[in-house]
Amino acid sequence: MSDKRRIGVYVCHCGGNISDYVDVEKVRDAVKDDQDVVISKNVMFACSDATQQEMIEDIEKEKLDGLVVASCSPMLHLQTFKAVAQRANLNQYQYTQVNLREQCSWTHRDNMEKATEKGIKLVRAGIARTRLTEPLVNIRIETKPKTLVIGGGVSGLRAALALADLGLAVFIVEKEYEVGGWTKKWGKMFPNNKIGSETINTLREQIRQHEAITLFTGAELIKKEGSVGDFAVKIKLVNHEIISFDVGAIIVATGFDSYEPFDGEYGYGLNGVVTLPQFKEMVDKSNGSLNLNGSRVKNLAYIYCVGSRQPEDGDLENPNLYCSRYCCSAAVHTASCVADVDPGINQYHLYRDMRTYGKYEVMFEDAGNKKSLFVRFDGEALPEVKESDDSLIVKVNDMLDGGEEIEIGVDLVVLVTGMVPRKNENLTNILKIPIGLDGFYNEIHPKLRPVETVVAGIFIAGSSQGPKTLAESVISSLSAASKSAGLLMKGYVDLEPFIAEVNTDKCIWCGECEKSCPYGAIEKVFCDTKEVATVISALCKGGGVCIPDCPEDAIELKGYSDNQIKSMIDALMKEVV
Amino acid sequence: MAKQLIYTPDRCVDCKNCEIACSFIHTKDITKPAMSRVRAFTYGDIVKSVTVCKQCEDALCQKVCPTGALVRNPETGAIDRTDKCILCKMCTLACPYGNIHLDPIYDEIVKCDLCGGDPACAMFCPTRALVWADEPVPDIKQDAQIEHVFNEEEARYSANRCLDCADCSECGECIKACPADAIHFDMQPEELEIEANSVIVSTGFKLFDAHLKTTYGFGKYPNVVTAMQMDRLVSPTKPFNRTLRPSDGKAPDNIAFVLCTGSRDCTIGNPLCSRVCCMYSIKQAQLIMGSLPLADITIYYIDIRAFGKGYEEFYQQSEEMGVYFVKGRVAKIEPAEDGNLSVFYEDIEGGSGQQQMEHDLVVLSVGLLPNMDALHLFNNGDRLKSDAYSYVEEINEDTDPTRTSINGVFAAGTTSAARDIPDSILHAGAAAVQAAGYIHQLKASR
Repeated sequence: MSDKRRIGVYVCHCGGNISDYVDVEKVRDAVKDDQDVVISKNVMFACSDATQQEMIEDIEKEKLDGLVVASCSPMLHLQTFKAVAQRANLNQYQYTQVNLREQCSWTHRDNMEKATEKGIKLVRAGIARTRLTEPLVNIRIETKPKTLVIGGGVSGLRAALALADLGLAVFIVEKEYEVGGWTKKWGKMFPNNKIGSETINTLREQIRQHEAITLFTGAELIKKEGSVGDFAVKIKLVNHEIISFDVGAIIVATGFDSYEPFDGEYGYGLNGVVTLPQFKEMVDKSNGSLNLNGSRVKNLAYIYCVGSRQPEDGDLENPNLYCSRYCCSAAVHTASCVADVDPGINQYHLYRDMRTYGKYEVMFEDAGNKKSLFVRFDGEALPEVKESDDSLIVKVNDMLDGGEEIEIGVDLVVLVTGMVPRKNENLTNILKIPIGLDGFYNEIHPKLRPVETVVAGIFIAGSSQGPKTLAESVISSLSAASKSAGLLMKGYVDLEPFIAEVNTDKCIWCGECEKSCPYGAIEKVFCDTKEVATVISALCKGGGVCIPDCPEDAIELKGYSDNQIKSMIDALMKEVV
Repeated sequence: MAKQLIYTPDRCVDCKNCEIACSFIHTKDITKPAMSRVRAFTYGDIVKSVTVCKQCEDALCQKVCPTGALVRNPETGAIDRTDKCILCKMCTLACPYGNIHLDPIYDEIVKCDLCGGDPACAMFCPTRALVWADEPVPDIKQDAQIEHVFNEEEARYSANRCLDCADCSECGECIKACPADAIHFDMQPEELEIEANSVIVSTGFKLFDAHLKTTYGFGKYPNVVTAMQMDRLVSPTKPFNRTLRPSDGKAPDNIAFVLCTGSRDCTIGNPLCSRVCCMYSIKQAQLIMGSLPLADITIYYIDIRAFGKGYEEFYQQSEEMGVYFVKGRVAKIEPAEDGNLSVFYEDIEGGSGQQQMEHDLVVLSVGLLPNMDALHLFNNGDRLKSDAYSYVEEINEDTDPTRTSINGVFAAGTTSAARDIPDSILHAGAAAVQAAGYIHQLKASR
């Protein structure tokens, strides 16, 4: 390209973060006479209001058509400087951010000379890219004011209600024949002793009254196409009929599975060894006394952390390293319920750390007051359960008493089982959302973006993201509803224009690109006299897989053209004198 | 010989900490070296001096004072200015050292009062150039226990960064010079009236005041600090670019964290767990291992509550890194030699009963308390209902979280319970959609 460009370069000190390790004045001087560079300046803080204003004035006065800021990671300030360009009527895609901090000064604190040399090369590459930029326009998509909620447990139901309260349409897809998930199965739940099934009944009644909510039970999602704001989904209904509709956002609230102990784990399989959910059901149904096989339970032991906090170097192939969060509180609460049923029962709690965090501490206190006894065991010396005559013996080293080995004879052993991720391979593949090391769906950022996934427009709620209590699941589902509503009520979403573009002169329609695209974004069209490929802009993610597969080099990625990348490499390779 | 302020020029790096400490102590809320009673001067590399009132036995200032406003305090030995002062300024002319002067802004005579017997200027001198002692401190080269955080070149560089703000006479030229109009001397509080359909209360929490746990000696022993203070000592912009303990600037090599300070403790009236302290202490322990790789770190705990996503893994990682975890509640902390501290605890897992362990720095992992100011935000008729622990009550926290006792008012974050950042963010998201839904319904019903 021989057209003359007018580029402004700003090299930031970052108050010493860059300038202590990179000679920013030298960087500025090295590029000031480079081709098309009109302005080359040092600034103390490029992101400060005053400097932003200075850039805007420079762009307007010097009629710049390209902007380079060499500062921090684009993660931090790409949007800031794009906005500067826009305010100065410069196309935002003619701005390039050079990462001089995370990728240069912070990584090379020990060698200022070399760091400066690298800094110069990075800035030159940025200038080279900018020289070949074209003004691009965002792709604007009108959002469909509807949300698909996958999962009709307490999280899914509550998210649906929140969205419907805002006048947005919601479709709930539940694969079971009834809504309510785990909550529906349970009686008194902590901390407020509300009955789980009643909670679900109330929510279901509210949902029934909302015209905006459509509920499909016995149904599942079988296909998802499109992108944020405009997904096309296919649902297989209970009668095997398949229906299709469009939604703007998807909330995944598929919940958890309870950990299923393996045979012989703490005596699992023996008569009288049950998991916490099984025991909870027993307690909910009991009246006056707690019975097992017709005889009254007098002594029982809880073993905590079953299926949670498993050792990394143990015998298990895929140990659950994580803490399941809800089980300590659930177990002490259940113990209080047991004491209310039959105050005479002796209850022994074999725990590792009592994680009744926050206000749940009070339930721990309460269980202690109701004569629960607490025995602490070490993660490296796990309790053992054996059968003896007509009862069970639990052997444990009591760490609260110097590690002395004690044996407790009990009628019933409750394995306080944790939460494990639901096996949802089909769904995960359809939605293409990532799973974390623990097997639960992964958020983008645990603090800043806890319900968003890397797929824009798909949100995760409740225990599909990680173990949670009932109240916490509801909080997370409302948070997901908040994100979904924010997206849909704006009415449109702007997508970056970094998509593939086909050169119809070169294209011979061999179909290779269509095969390579994982998003189905390429289709065949007639152009003048021949068949050529074309890109469906709303579906293209700019992944670039099609580009190397094209035998004719007929496809380019806007914003990252071959020429741009080549010129950046040339700039990086050029010796710094 | 009685204690006095002794200055050793060889040790001074002209950091002006004395001025900052003095002005902060005397003005209570601002650091304004112009208000300092002690003056650090340098003339290039040649002359260094800190001038401080000598509390002369036969004091000229006292003699010329026409109203007898300058009175010697029998306890501290200092000559104190009393409120008999009529601002005649005679004393400022009389003092041969220039150690008493008029502050033009607060319009009062400024004179060293030895801070009631423990001068802040000496307390905060990092090199012990200025000490409150019977005799001068030994030569700096023999002073083995001081960490020399800066070599001489670095010390001079740092000292030269000082902008000499002590010289500010508030002439106002900076206001004219600042292009961004960022400096104001005359800002006043403004009251605004805003009409809203819904209010989200996100007034946060109060930190437990470590003074209240008297057996831990916070405020009494300088090397007992709170985790908030520790956060500053391990932050990327920490003072001196090194993690140092407060009493003498030594790099600590045996640090203790005392968990549940102000939490799970009925003796100070808070039975609740604060949810965040386990994790922030483990985080700080890992950071300390970065800045002080040789230091031993012990965490005294009741239960390690690493319950959030990825937290247990983080806890395990810190154990692998070599942090010691000791199950046992700390009963009391007492001073030991050289500014060290004896931590008394019950060795629960070892089964050996009461134990004590010496540490050279103790960090109190203070807990979270409700911010009760939130309860009085709405005073026209309705009042925000509180729960049994004085947090704002969520009337149906199971399925309708953030909703409070007042229609249209929602509580977000730690307003209604102790929460860590991820949980606060989620809770705030819930409050946002609740408020939006409330407004939508309100408008629909009109």
